[in-house]
Amino acid sequence: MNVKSKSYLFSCLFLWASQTALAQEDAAGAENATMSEEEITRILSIADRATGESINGLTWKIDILSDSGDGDTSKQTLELKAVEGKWVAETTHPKRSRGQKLLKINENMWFTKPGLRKPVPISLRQRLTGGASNGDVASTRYAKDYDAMFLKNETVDGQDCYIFELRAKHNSVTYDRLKYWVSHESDLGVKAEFYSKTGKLLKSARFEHNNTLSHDGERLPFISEMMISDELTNDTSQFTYYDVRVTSVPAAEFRL
Amino acid sequence: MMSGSPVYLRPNFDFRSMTTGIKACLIGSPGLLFGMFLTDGAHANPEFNLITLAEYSHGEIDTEAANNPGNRLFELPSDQYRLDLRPRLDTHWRSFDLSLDPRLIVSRRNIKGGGVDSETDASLRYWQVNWQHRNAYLTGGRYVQLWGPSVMLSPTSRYHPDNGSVRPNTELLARDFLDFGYYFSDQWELQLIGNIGEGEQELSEFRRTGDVRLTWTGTSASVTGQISWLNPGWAEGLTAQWTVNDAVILYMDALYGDAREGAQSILSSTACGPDRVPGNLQQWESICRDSADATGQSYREDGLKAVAGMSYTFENGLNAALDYYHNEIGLSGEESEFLLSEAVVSSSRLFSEAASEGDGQIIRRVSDLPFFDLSNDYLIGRVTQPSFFKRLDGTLIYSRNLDDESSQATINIECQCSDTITFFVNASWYSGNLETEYGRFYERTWHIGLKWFY
Repeated sequence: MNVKSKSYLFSCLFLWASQTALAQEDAAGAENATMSEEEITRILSIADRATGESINGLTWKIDILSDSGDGDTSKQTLELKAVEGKWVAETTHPKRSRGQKLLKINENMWFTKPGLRKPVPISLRQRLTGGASNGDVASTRYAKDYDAMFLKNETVDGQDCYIFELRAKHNSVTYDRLKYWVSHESDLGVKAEFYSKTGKLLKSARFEHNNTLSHDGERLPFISEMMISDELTNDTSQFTYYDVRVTSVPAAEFRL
Repeated sequence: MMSGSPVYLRPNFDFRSMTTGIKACLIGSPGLLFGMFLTDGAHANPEFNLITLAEYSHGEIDTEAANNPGNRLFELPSDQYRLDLRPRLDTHWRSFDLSLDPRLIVSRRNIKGGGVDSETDASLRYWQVNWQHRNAYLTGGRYVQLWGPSVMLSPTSRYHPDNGSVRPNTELLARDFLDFGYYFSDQWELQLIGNIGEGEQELSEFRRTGDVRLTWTGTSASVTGQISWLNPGWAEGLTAQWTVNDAVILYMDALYGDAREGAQSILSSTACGPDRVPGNLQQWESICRDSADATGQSYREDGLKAVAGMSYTFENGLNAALDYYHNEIGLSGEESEFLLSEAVVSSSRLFSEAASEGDGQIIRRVSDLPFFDLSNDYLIGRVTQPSFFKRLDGTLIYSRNLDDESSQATINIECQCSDTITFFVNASWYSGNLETEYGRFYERTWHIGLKWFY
């Protein structure tokens, strides 16, 4: 066989191989792009539960380390109490912010601090500290507040993940749209990207779940770390969760 | 307290004048605290905090002003230095919480056109005992009782006419309360509030009053219906707020039947009353013909006070709010100008033989009128930007009296300089002539201060 023929044969083989590979990938993608709504809801509910959603009576603490990107850091510590649909967060550090409280009941939120005289209604968009919004403190309710669509699978940090695209069902959530990476193995959130209505990337987040708690006879994973990066300002906020306990929280705790 | 001037603090530890209940609580609280430690010290869990505030205030006063000639009438300070120690003791024992907020204030005032005035005050500014069990709580003590969805105004919240939003580092004078709340469900709360003592507020007339408030909180809205017992008489109130989306909040707050002595009552019993000679007879005949009370008795006006507003938060965290306030028992532009101009006339007479008892009355009652009580309509705007230049929080407030077209603009900037120190600057500009609400006293005021947190 002369050189010309060999080249021609090689090209044909290469073309056939690449077409086959692409076809296989399309087939795989097409096969995995379908997931039932029930299955998506089940996975998102498990991921939400690992942030405190659906557990009626929970307390925990959060250290929030904010970095403005130029070496200027600040730390804030919150103590949270939550039941389904409600949480209250009190600042215990730094000293100048001690006694500040955030109260959230469903989609209503209030803020008070010593010297502010009275609770003031605030929006989820208002800034807690650094780049983190008040809405970032809350447990996630993606299964309830968003319509979800399965996009594809991807590997992140060595974990095989589902990627869901979530669109808000109503206007009272912090983010209109997000992409959410959930681990195949644990059904826990690994990564998220948060978008505005216009599709602008606002923030991204990474999650770890090294805490555990006992609930209804089960040992359940609970979020231990969340790193939020503000894509508009380059601020970052690292949330570290600890002292997590399932406990009864009376209704009278949720007042300012 | 004179409206428009910095709040001055007065010694308040007059045990004899306190109500029996408050005396019992005041005696009982240290006993309760001691008992907590004695019986279960391990769980008493006391916490001590201290805020030290050092502040300098400056006010620009026109000593030629006819309503305060030579500053001899109101003796407004041009400069004030203040050191304010604000310790706080919190302790928790079983279902009880106790908090004590004593204060030690050392101040020095330079009275423009006058001398220097130094003062040292020690008081138990606030204290509170709270019992909480499951869905109920009972709170008693001396504290600030404010509610309502608007930052600037709360018509249904009757106990503190000035809610201090313009001067965030100034503490309000407290009253004595008993407060019971019960949560029927996740959505419904009932609150019974009794104002049982005037506390630190020096009122010309104190009566015990109370409120019943029923609150419903839904998914994105909250509504409270309120009935207030005014002793005598009643008032009805309604507050509501709606979180429209993650950026917009709509709210309203309305009270009907306040029946305090509003500006109309002050007009009729002082400027139109029989105890003084009017300065402008033509205006007196025009305005007072319908409101003059021959006996000079003040009367109470029922009317609606309502604020409605909206708050919007931008993606960068900047928040803007706009409130419109309507006060039915306020005065029209013509009436308020007449009342304030008659007060000016009385002020100029006060140090002469022409002064009468009526002159003194009109000066006192007009100067005691809080902001937002004089006229019918107001517009208030507020812009807040947290965390600009990393550590600065800024607020701009603009209040405008739509009837007399006077206004006040205030800017407040706080630096979160470290975990334990904040530095603030607060400046206000007042526009309007002497016969207007905001133009009566100061032209400009500013305050700078440092707060140290221990």
